[in-house]
Amino acid sequence: MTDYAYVEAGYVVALGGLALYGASLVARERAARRRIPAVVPARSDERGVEHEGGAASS
Amino acid sequence: MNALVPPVDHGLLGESAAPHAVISSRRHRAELALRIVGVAGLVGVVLTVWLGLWVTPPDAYMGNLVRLLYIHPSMAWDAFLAYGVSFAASACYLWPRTRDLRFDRLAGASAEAGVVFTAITLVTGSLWGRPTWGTWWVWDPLLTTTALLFVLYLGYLALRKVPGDPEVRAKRTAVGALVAFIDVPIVYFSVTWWKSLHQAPTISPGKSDVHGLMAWTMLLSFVTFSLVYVWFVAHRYRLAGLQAREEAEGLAYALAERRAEGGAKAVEKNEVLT
Repeated sequence: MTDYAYVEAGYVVALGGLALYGASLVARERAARRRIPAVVPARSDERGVEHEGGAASS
Repeated sequence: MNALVPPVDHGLLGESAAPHAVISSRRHRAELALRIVGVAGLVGVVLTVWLGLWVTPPDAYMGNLVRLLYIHPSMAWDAFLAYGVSFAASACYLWPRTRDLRFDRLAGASAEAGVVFTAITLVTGSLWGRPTWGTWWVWDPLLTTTALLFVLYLGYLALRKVPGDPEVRAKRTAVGALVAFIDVPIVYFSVTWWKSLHQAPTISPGKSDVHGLMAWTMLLSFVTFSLVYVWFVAHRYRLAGLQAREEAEGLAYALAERRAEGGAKAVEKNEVLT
């Protein structure tokens, strides 16, 4: 292996590692945002009509 | 209010107490700032790679291997920065006057980023050590204490996963962060305290072994990867807020559902009896 190959490997590891972690953060955040409305159950208003999520208030 | 779920303090950025318009404006500004940091970090990475691999000259002694100088020390610096922030946030959590779960989330977010930077530091250091020292790894004081640092913070992250009451968990992990941080100054001073294969810091207060374009590129790498660190922590902090909210609302919903089921059964029983 030449010196330059070690250098290139170092850059690939560093930038690849950071990119992977960054992408995992974005993916986990999106997944969490998708799950949040799911944990807030359908609610019913005074007339017994069910609404999705917790956006509406009574 | 929701008919089934009791109100939950989302506690993401303390929004619950502020009027909706203020929250929206604050969120918009925070999102914009985070995007600017992200774009600046990305531009900085491209510039660092371009300068580091193609523009800066090879070193008289190390040749092309010196190009790892624009990656490896900045990763180590960001790991220290991350653990420093985690330490400060944990201390703030433990201090009764500033106790707030947001500090706990910040400590966890920063430590996780620190573990990523430490892992990269260890691997890039090993890639530098093989052609320079002729070996991938030696049980040198600096390398050993850095490996210990990595393991300590992995343990800290594992401790954060232990289920329990959020307040108790936060207190426990805050103490863990303070204990783990003891290794940070040991890593930094290990090259001066003990005989080490590893060179002394290239840049230290009042002293620099690099000059000209090499020094500027190195400085750029420190700023760039610090921006990347800020971007990581901001996103991880937000994710921690979402997870806490999910946990709280999920639990509140489960409890409310149980109560509702219990109530319905009691009504049915009364109807049967009457």
